[in-house]
Amino acid sequence: MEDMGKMPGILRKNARYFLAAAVLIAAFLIARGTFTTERKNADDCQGGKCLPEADFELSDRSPSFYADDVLKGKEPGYYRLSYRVRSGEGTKVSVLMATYLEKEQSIGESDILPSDDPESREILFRYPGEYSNVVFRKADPHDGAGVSIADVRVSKLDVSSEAEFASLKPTVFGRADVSKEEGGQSDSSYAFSSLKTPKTTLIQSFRAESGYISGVALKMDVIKDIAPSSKEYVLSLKAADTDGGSVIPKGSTLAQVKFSADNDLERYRQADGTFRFPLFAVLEKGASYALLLDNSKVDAGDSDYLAVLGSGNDDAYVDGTAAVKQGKSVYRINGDWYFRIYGASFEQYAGQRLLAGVSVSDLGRGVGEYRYGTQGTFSDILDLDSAKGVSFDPGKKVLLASSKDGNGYSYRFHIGHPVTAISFKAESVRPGWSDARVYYSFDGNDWSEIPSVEIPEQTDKDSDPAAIDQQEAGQEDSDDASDDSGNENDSASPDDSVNSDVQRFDFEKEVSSGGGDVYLRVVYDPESANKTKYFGLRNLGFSAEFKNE
Amino acid sequence: MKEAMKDKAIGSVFMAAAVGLGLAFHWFWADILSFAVLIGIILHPVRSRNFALVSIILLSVVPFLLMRDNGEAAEKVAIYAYYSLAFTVMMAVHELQSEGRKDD
Repeated sequence: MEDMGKMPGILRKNARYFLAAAVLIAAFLIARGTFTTERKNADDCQGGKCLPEADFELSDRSPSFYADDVLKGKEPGYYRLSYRVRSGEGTKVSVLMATYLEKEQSIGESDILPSDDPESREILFRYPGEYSNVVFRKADPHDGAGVSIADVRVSKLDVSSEAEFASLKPTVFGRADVSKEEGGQSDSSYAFSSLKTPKTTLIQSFRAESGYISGVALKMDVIKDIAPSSKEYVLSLKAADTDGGSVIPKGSTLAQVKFSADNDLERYRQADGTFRFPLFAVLEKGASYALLLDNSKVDAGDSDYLAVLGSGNDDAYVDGTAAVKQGKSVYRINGDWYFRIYGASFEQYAGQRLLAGVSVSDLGRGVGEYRYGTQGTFSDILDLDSAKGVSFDPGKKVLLASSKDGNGYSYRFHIGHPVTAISFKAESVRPGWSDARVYYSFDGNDWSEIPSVEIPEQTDKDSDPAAIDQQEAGQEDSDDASDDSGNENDSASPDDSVNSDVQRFDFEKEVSSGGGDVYLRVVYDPESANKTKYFGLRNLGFSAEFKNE
Repeated sequence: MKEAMKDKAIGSVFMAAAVGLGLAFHWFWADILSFAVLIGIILHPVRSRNFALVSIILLSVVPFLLMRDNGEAAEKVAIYAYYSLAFTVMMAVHELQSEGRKDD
């Protein structure tokens, strides 16, 4: 009893020690993630349980979507309505013209098949005047399907009679089918926990089974704090040397995706609990490549890491192996990741591959139009015929190439009919960036340059190419050391203003001897007045009129 | 004298535990230092104005870092300025309590 009476006195006398001990214990428990760690297992997410709620234009709650004023002010006549549509479930959508007083007239219906990627659709219709809006409406408002609708456009057709209208051929749209699996390893009974250790890269090598990769599905348990950091993991794809059973990633990054462990990562979650990451690149069939998951930018630890699932058996995938990179050293480890490689296949047109960004339309009166536009998605890289030093920037949604002589990319447009006119439009990604040179050819040998103009545009410091370059240099893969040699534009800004001309291409040409193909080449201009780390073109659009025989 | 030695020894053990904890969980060195300072001021309180001065110095560095487009470093310095402000408040509360006891 006497001892019990002494306790408050001891506590008071040593209060600071008890307080310091309590703080230490609390810090230990918090750092260990006792109160805050959340573990999301891949197996618990099967059946779409972890999928984020998507935002659709059409749903059971909102079965109609109005594209306002797309018909307003148009003359009566024949028109083409084009739009892009996607539904995860598949449904039927009615398309109508409408006035603001809700007078409606049907112009067609679309059967929509389940798909992860938007599909281009068109409806040819006669516009009687009076209507202003186009309405998309689910045929069955309670079928549970969500439908995304985008890029609603109306263009006039050059036809003057019902007979001409009836004889128009439907537009052919290019599409990259990225749903086909091309290799992988499906055992997920083992968890690779190497990413607990900071500054670690987990690697899996594989052999390419086709010429394209559009994505990879991985199975991972996500261990994260309930207030996760926004710092990003980097999943990248590189060519690899696999001599002697080891994996040595080599060369520059072919494709990469960055994501933090918070909701950013859940964007890639699939209904089967896996994560599907977009990695678009042209591969060499049969060659070895490596997937690299790098946690260098993340504060990794016991309570914040990604446990990549796979097999502990090294023979689970015979054409590759798992490895760990710490510092400059790469160590082979037993086992293989769970991974599924997705390839890409294309529609055929005139006996050849039709690029994903192409539409081929019948304009009437024996004239057709072949139109290509970059879509601002990863699939833009798959449309290239050849590329050097090129990657897709998901932030700016454009193809960028590092500013080195000879770097750039080319397209081959197979039109399949005699071309009578071509046009090309594009502009530099940002004011003040390095210029590009663009050439066209009808045979791939005899090239003509497409002229451009520099349009002065004063910018503030926020869009200073020097600053942008610095940001991007920080994001660039560290192995690409030759590209990180500082900012060439530093000396170009003696005062606060910068040389911020926009390079613009707006070119049209009548062609008398055009064949069935047009080649387009975009390369770095070594004589560019602006010198930035990257160059690129946005809003790139090419079109060709041809004799529709 | 013996009491002072004992106090020093216990203080060293606590500081070693704080640094060890930071190293074990791979904290950034500035976070380890901040945590050690927190344990240190619990064991041996210092004047709040010292931390207030550190806060002002750190906060005045931030605009220069932002002018040099070094947003990431500015963000970090601002965080440590915030820690220092928190320590200032802790010490100010402790000083008020001590003055209250003296008045009694």
